[in-house]
Amino acid sequence: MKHTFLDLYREGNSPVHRLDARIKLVATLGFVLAASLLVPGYWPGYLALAAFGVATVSVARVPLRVALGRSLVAVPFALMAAASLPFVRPGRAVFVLSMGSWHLVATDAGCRALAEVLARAWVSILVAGLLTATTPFSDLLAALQSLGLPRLLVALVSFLYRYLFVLVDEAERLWRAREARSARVRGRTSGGVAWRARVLGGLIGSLFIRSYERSERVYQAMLARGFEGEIRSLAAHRAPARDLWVGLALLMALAALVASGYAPWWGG
Amino acid sequence: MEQQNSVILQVSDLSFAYPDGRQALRGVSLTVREGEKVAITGPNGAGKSTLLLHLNGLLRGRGQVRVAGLDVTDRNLGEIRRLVGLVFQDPDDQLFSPTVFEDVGFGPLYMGLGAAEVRERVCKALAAVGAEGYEARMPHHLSLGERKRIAIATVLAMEPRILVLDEPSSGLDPRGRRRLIGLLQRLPQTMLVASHDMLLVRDLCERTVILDGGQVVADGPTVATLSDRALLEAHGLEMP
Repeated sequence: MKHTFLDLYREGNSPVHRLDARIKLVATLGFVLAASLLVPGYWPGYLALAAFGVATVSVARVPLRVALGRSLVAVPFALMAAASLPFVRPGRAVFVLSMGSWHLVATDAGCRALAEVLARAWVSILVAGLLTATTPFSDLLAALQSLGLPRLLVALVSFLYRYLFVLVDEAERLWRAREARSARVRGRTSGGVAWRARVLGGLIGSLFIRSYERSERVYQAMLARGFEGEIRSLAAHRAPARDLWVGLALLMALAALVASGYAPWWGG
Repeated sequence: MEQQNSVILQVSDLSFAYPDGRQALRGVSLTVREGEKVAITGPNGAGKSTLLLHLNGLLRGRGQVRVAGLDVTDRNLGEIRRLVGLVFQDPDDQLFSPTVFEDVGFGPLYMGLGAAEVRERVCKALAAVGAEGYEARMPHHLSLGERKRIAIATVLAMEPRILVLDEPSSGLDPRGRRRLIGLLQRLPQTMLVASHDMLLVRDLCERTVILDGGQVVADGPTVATLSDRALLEAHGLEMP
C-alpha cells in the first residue's frame, strides 16, 4: 500500500538527484549551520539563502508548491518555541496584547527577532525537505553511516522506516474493523468518551503486541540468514571527484555568505 | 543419479514443547533425499511451522535433526543455515531492509562474501525469481506476489541445498499462485513445502506428508495420498 505522506522521495533525474547523497547531506548540514550563524539583522544574507533554496528546488524539478508546502510543516514548531520573543526583547513598543489584567507589550526589536527565527527555520526546512525529496531514504541512511553514525543506529532507523509502512497498514486495518462494527441504533446513545478512549487504548495495545510479535519473527528471519548479532553492510562507493568539488564550492560559498555579514559595508 | 538419491535431511524422533507447555511435535521422523519436493500438510496447529523452524535450528527440540550429514548443533549452526533456506509465510517478516538489494544481499553479506560477489549473487537470485532490475525498489511498493518472490530470492542468494517454504501461496490470487508454482517447479533445490493449498501440493510435490497433532500420520506419493478421501477428511483436509 502506498503512503505518500511517509514517502518523501520523488523520482527524478536532475543534477540534484544525481549528486552523491553524502555530499548533499553535508551541504544541507552546512546550509542549516549557515542559516543559524548569520549575523542578526543581515537581511541580504537571508535573501541569498532563500534564493539559493528556491533555485535548487527548481533545478531539482520538484514542484515549488510541494517544496513550499513541506517547508511550512515545521514552522508552527518554530513559532511555538519563539512566540515569546516579541514580548521579552527590550525595544520600542509596537502593540499591546491585553488579557484581563495582563498586558503584554510587544517591541519592534522583539518582532524582528521573531521574524528572523522564523526565516532561519523556514530556509533550513526548505533545504532539508529538498534533501529528502531528491535522495532515496536508503541512500540517506548509507550517507549517514559513511559519515560516522554508528551502524546500530543506522540499522534501527532503517527498521523504523521499513516497518512504519507495515505498521500504518496494520493500524488502518484495525481501525477499519472497529469502524465496521460501530453501528448506531436510533434512539440509543453511542458510547461515551471514556468508552471510546478504552477502545482506542485497546487498539493501540493490540498494535503494540502485533509489532512485538512481528519483531520476533523478523529476528528469526535474520537469524535464518546468518545474522549473529553484528551488523554488517557493504562498503560504500567513493564519491565522484566532481561531486566533491561541487560540495566544497557550496560550503565555501556558504562560509563566504556568513562572513560577509561581518564585513565593513554591513557595519560589521 | 546415485548422488541425487543421497539422504539430505534426516529427522529422527523429534519432539518439541513450547514454553507454555503446548506439545507441538511428538516423535516426528522424516527422511528426505536430495532433489525431492515434499509437501507437509495437515490442519492448523498440526505442528507444520514448528517442524520447519527446527530444520535450520531456530527451534531445538528433543530428538535429532541432520542436514547433509551435519547434526544441528551450535557449532554447525552457521553451515546449516547456509544449507537450509527458510522462507517465512509473511514476506513482511522476511523483507526487513529499505531496498530489495539490501534484503537479497543480506544472506550473502553475512556469509562473509566480498562486495562484488554479493552483487553478483543478488543479480542471479533476482533473475531466478523473474525480478531482474528490482534492486532499488522498496518492499512497501511491491505487490504481495512480488514480495513473495523476492522473499524466495533472499534465500536463493545464499545458494542453499534445501528450500523450506511456509505457506508460499497464501494470500495470492490465482494468477500469482500459478506463477509461484511455476517458479518453484523450475528451481532444482530439494524442497519442503508446508501448505494447505492442495492444488499447489498436487502440482509441485511428488511426495506428501500429513502431520496431525504433532505426529506424522501419512507419508507417501502425492497421487495416492490426495486420492484417499477418508484419510484427507480425517485430518481436516480436502481433495483438490
